[in-house]
Amino acid sequence: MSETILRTDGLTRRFGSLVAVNDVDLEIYEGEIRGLIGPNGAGKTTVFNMLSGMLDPSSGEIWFHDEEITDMPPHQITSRGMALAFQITSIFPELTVTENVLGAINGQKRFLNPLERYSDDEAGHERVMELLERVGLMEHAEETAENLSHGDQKVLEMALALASDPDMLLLDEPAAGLSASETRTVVNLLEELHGEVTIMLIEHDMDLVMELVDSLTVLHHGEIISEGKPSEIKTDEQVQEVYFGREY
Amino acid sequence: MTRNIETPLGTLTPTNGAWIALAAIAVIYPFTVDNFLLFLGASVLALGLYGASFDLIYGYTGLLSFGHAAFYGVGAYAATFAIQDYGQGVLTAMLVGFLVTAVIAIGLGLIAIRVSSHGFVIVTILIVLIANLAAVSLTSITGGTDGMSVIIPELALPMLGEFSMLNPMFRYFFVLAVVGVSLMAMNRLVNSPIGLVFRMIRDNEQRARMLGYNVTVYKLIAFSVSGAFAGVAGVLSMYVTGFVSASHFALIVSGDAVIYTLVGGRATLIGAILGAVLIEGASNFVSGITDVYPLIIGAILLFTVIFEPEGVVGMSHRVRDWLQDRGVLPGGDEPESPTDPDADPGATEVTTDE
Amino acid sequence: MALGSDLAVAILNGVTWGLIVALIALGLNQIYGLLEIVNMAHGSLYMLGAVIGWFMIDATGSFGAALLVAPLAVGVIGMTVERTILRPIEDDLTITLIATFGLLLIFDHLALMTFGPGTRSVSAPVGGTVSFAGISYSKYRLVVGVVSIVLMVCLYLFLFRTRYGTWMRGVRQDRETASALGIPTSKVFVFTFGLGSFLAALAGVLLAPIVSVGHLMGLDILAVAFMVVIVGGLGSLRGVLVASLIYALVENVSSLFMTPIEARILTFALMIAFVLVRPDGIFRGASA
Repeated sequence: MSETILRTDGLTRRFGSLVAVNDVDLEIYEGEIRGLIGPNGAGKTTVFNMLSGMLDPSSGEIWFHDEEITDMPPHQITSRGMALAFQITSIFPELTVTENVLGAINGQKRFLNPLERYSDDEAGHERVMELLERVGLMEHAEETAENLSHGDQKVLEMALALASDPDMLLLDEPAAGLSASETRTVVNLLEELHGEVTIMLIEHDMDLVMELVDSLTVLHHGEIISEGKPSEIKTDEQVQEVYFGREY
Repeated sequence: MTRNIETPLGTLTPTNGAWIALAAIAVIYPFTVDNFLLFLGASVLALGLYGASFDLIYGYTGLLSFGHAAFYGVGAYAATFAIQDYGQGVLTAMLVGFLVTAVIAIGLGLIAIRVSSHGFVIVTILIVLIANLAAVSLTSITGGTDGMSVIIPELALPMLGEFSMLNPMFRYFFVLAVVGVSLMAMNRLVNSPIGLVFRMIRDNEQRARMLGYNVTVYKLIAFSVSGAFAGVAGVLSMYVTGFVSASHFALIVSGDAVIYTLVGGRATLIGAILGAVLIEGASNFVSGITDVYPLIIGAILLFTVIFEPEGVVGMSHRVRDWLQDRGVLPGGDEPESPTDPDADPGATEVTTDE
Repeated sequence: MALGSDLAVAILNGVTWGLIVALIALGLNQIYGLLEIVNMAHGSLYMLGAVIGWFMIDATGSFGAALLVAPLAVGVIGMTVERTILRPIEDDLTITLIATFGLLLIFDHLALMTFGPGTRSVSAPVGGTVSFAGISYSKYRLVVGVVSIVLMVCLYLFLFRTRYGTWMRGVRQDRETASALGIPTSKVFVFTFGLGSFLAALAGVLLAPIVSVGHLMGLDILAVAFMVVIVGGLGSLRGVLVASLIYALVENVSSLFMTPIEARILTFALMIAFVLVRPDGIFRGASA
């Protein structure tokens, strides 16, 4: 049984009288790929925003690596080993792919030298090449990020997230807006990372989720209604009902 | 994608090629022209530095500072007081100008940066408007819009003798040297890891923050360095003309920095120099322009932002790419289309994306 | 008591000046709130109102004609500018700001070319003074104060009680949803810019008898308008009104003890100190 890497206790978020997330207890195990699914408005994005530190919970606690991160802002959470990738791709458009990744790597450094050229940073570039090789973007290394295809930009965003050598990746709809082959690229990458990095993803695309994850948590109206392996969830009647008769 | 040209002395990239060309022109120029043009050349170089300082904060860091005229003016006046009231020499006065402006830039930066991103611009506008108000009304100190002339001491260079700013040749080369050193310093900064952070902040501040950077500190660094060099440019202008006035603080002077950078091409440093050359050159040689100068500047600004936001450098890149693709210049993309007469029918590029 | 009556006059001046500054700054704020445009040409629009107003009075002798024609003309100019120049670039906020700076240069210089350098005065349509509480106060200034209040009430009613006003507030809150709900967002943008221009120009005409009309009027008022918008909190309507009143009162009362320029510098210094302590303004500006 793996260690718990991320845990929430009674996580709740209200917006006025609307309870978007209600008393959610999550337990994510090290090395797993967990999917957070549910119909529109189920509260998935709100959970993501709270886990990443962009939104404070109304009540409840979040624990990461046995440290409470409930009210921490995002940059503190990311410095503790959690990396984020957003639904709307968030990269540095006018920088090259290499510069994007190098910038991400440098974020971990305490001190940046104003006298050296960043293009002379051999150690940094070695690490950049490692990462680009890993995610399959080597051939685009010198291209400007905004000129990449949508799918490659998503992959670049993952490279940025991986640059900090995180223990856990939190992804919000990583396949959003991607074509079938682009989605394939992302899925392959995630499968490769499986076991090495704990991954939690919010996703709409049921096919993608089913084949990729170790286990699923299903959210509806802000509450967990079911948890388990994909095969179990597939046949869960309550889940089927919630997705309005979609057959799996 | 463009390739670089290999020469025996090293790689010639488009960027350092442009720098080298400009440096060559700048050095040869003074030997080919008369005193008036020497004077103009020195002025334009100083204004180019002013523009480049703005490029640092706007082109590289993405912060639109409309208050740069304030730093320009402060630099000029700080050096003036150092000379007139404290009897300092040319180099010391310039250092004073640099440092005083840097300190003020840090102070003002602390206010401006903490307001929201749109608020930042507004605060910088307020800075220059208030500075202008103060400078224009405190006539006894600043000389108001009529200004005051400054007697600049001679500079003693070891083994070479004493030189006066009234000597057009010396003045030109002095300005060229200072501008050159300043540009090199700024270039160093933008090519350093810190410069990379500047551009990250410009492109996606939120993401930069998430990657662990203290964005406020980096903005402050950019703003202070940028302001300090605007101050140096102010000092140089004063040396060239022998004159300071409150009109250094006018809003349109802030606008000049913007226009040099936009017209020349932002995020290049050298674009601002080009822009200054073009704009100031044009306004001096096209007659009748001085009367309607603001009108022309306004029209150029509108034209540039709507049609050509990357300025002359951007246009030149497009021209260069066009020439390279047609084989006129070395470098350039592999021909892709099978109907291209230059293409090898067996070597069509295979793209791995859809 | 001489000081007492001077003080009373200063306070009245502060209130009336504050109200009209609020009118100008409200337009600037609306343009910022809805279109996210920092309109550097706003002062120039105010100046154009005064200048066109002056030409109207010169031609017809009627202040009423000026009051009618100038704001409408400038409103139309504003709408045209938004539709033609600003629309294609409205996504890039810094570029738009630079464009409005270009407009500032063009408008101010055109005014210089047509109106000439220097300033001219306009006589107030309502002359004389009113005596009360031991002081004599300019009737016209009181009228201006009252008119400003009326206009602001109308603006409030428009924004909160009419359909179009609700549309404007909807677009301001959430552009995409508003568009999805069928609100004609581009028309709203054009109208908002026109409305802001109209209000600025109207203030220009109203103030013409009090300040002198000249092509540099715009720059003078620009600093004030930006200052009160920042201090009030970018995007906050209440903030603009409160900040305008505070600004005008501080400046006018200080002028009792120092020259007007010194008073202005002092007031600005105080307001900047405030912004240092509270960067989001009095009412915590709505934007990022």
